[in-house]
Amino acid sequence: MSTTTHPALLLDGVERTHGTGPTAVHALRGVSLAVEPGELVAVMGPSGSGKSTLLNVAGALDAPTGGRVLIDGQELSALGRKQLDRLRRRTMGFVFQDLNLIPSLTALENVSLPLELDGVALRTARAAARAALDKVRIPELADRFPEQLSGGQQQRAAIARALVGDRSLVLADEPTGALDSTTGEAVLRTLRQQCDDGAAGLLVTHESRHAAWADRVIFLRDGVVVDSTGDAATPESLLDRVV
Amino acid sequence: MSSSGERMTDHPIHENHAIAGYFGAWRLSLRLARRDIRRHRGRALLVVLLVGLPLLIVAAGATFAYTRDVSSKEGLTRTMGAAQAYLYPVDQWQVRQSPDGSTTGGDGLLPRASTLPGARPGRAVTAAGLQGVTGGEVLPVSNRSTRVQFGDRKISAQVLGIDGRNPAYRGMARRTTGRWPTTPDEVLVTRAGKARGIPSQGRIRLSEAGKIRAVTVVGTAAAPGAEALVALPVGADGWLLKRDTPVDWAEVKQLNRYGLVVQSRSVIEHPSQAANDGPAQRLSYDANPVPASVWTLLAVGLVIVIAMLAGPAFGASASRQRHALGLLVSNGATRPQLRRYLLGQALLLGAISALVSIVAGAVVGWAAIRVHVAMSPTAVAPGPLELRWRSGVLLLLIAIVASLVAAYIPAVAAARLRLIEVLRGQVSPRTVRAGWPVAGVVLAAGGAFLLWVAIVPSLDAGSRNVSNLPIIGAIGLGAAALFGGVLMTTPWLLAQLGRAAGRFPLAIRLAARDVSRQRGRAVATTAAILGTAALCCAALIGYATVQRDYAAEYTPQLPMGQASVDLYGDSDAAAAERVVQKAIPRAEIAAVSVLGSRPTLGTSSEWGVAMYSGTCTDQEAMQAAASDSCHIVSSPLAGNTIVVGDVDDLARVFRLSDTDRRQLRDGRLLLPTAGRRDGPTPMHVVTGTVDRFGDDRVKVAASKVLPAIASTQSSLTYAAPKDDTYVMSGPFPAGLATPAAVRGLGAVSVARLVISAPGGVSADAQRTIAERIDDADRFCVERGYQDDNRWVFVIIGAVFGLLLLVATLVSTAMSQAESRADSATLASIGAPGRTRRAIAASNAAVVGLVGALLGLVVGLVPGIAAARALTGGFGGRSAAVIPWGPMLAVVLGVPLLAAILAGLVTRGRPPMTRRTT
Repeated sequence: MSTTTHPALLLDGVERTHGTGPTAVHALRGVSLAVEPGELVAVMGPSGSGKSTLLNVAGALDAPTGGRVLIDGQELSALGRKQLDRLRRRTMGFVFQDLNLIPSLTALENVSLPLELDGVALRTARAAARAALDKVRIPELADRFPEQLSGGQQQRAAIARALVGDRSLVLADEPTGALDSTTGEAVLRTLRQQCDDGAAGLLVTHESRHAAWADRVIFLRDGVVVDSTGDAATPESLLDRVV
Repeated sequence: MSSSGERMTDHPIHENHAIAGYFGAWRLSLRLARRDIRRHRGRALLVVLLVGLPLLIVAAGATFAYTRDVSSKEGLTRTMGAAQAYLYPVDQWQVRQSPDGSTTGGDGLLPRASTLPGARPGRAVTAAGLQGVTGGEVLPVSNRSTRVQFGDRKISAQVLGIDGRNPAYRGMARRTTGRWPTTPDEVLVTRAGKARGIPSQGRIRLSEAGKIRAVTVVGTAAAPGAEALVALPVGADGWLLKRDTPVDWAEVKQLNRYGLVVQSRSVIEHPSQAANDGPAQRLSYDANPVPASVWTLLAVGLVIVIAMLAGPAFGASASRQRHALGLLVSNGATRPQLRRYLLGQALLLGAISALVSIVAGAVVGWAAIRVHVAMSPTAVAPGPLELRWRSGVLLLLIAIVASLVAAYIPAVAAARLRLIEVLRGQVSPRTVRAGWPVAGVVLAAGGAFLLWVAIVPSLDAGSRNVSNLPIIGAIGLGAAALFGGVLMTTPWLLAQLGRAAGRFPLAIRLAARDVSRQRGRAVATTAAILGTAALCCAALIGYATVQRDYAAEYTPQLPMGQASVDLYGDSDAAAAERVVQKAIPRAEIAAVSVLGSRPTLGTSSEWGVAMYSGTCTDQEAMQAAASDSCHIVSSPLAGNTIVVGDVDDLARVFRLSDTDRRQLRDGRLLLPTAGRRDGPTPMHVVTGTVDRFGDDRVKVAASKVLPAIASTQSSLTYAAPKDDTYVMSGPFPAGLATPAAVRGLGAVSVARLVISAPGGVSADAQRTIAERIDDADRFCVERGYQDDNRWVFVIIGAVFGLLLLVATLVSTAMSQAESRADSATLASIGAPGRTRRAIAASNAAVVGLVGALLGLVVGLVPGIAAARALTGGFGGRSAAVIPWGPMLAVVLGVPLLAAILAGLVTRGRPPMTRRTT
């Protein structure tokens, strides 16, 4: 977990344009955003507003066509490919909507994957993974393969993978999209708990009741932040802002 | 529904027409398949390549063979120029010939040939006589062997005798430079002649039937028959018939009565003229085609090879289409319809592959012919490009059948999908059926046992005949049971591998788990690799064991590294000695001579020696037709001779005892023990000639009585050589004598030069001598047993290795394509590019190694059995040879090579977001 004074994530005037000329699509237009350690920020907006692009750019899965992205004070554009890989392994973790666990690995192996990729000894990596599974309250499912887990259990394993190894930033893209409401709530509670423990979180969602778990909500429309002032008071108030 | 509310058709929608429904389903399947192929061109291209590659090789080979083969019709011009026919006499008997005149003979002896009108009975066929009976102009053609001398070289060569100035000969040879010969002392050198070193200008010497004459090279030519020289005809081996009217089949038959074979332009171009002539048709080449069983075997072999190559690709392709299949099922498709959907793709892809491969194969075959012509100047010129549509249709059928066979098992497996899982995008491994592994082991053991007992008892009974039907059936059944049994255990083995992978490094763990989870696809790939590796190992074991036996039975003829030159015909021993001495200045050369002269080219008479101690005439002894009282020790029919040489040379070559040396010095004829008579015996030694093709007519040249004595050794043949001695190969020496002893019995000629080179003959010296020495001589260097067929090893390894490599890489490529989402996930959590490459490499290694190692185990049984069959129970030796080096090179090396290639070609960084532009 970061102990510096930098925001865990800083987007400064970020732009992302797909294509060129008359067919160009401006997915993000000058988006600025800071996420502090211990803070969970929700991003809301209608379909095509640029939410997922924002998350991809924040997680260095995609490169911005303008502006800066800094994680723990490090500007991503200044980092080489290997350094970006290392950043993904050590500093930030992703949680995807479509439960992206590797099907041929057990839950424990999926969670220990970033550490194994980082060259951590297998025993140490597995111990850390077990601890992470413990945190998301599914330690007894460690040896099951993804297809033997329910959607909620898979998503918890994915959150454990995103956090294992003392990582400080969790980027979650509609993590409850494939889950029923009860399971979705449980997953968000887990995510909230991780942020309360000091991690920074950026949650993309289009459901106001999920955004209510965040400390702060920003609204995107046509690639522009239209509102970043509000805290997540109640789902109803959030809904009003979106509409 | 129409606006009136009536049905648009009188037939109910769901009326069941079984046949129409069946074809309708196929129509739908083919339409879907066609669109799927268009949409997934990469995948389709891969299958087309895998199915098409063997077909392309076969099509190219067939085009090459058909084109290189010159049929009578294609060879009309080179045979008879612009004439109506080519005629030549074969014997004193009437002729029965095939329509094209390429084959003669047939059932029963025909009457003596009629004499041409106007000729005296018994006279040979003459041009005048032929002109009289044919009414046309006849032109002589000769084609003879000759010896060509130029510089210090002498080679054998064929001379085409035609008069190129006469248009009737046009096409039999083409002048390229200079002018046509106008006198017998002028020649043209062809491309083949130049390739053999004959100068294309100046003077050369020709030696025919012992006569040498100098001729002038007046230009160069191209001869389709690859003769080295073109000159005016010398006598006539045959005649061209030049006239306005064609020679029909009736006239051919008429000319056959004069003992003439006739190649008629008219009959060759229109063979139907002879369609009703049964005996002639039976002589025709087409009457004895390759048996259908051979074609069937070849076709089945090709189907198996293609199915093995393409099977994994179809397996992977089927598994990639699970979602589409799931959607079909959700819309009511039945399992047979799903199978048809996949088989429809196989059918289309097979047909496309065949069409592409046949066209490409024809182009490649034609290109190969051009390369062959360019690189082989001494080869007979090929015919025009020849494509056979029947072969094309056969290849098309083979491609379709092979594709359907390859796709069938994957189609059946894919049709048994679990809809919910498929629509959710899940893949859950099926449980290995309880009892299958045990049943597999039992079946494999039974198959191995059956395979063994099918071969071994027949060998133990002293019979090596494993070709009868029950034994072949048992071998086939045993092999199938062994193969099938091991395949039945494979899912269990793969599952165990997946379970055991927990502690493996990440990449290998992922690969092992992937193979374990995707067992349907993995088993198809494993089957292909297993079968290929098993066949490869069996073939290598059989070959290595046979070679071991050959090596064990090999008897060296000379001390290792030393050499000999066997001299034939009129070759010059002194010239050969000079060539050797020049290449190896410090060589000691011992000449071994024989009584009599060497056979001469162009004559059928051979020198021979007879020895007898009883009472008969020399003539009778030479003919070996005498009574027992003749006591014939040796006759020309036995092919033996008397070896003549200095006592020391003979003693060195035959390792003679001191006693034998003394006998030779005393002028005695030394005989092997086999010909022993008590004490020194007067022996009649007769020399002369025997005409091998003239009823063994004998002509005695000289005769002399020599005192003969038996050698102290049992025979004058070889023993295992020592470093300081030589052995004598070739004809069995009937006796040894000094030149003085045989004086007056005719010429003594050098038959062999035995070369003793200090330190042995180097490879360079060997090459130099081989290039420079008269090509009628035989130059040999003793290098021990040489496996001249080592390339068989290489080809077996290369072909099977290639199959293994392709199967492994295809499986890996498909697996990687399937796991794109997982790769993106890995990248998103920071996996470096090398991890993805390592996963691809591990996938190839795991799939390849599992299949290949199982194949190695399976291949041992038929391999050892085959070794027994090929060597007749190991020829008394205890075991088959297992060539571990080459076998492991294939079963370990190829999967590792596949792993390296897979790692190299795999893209390290897959796109992590859907939209990348």
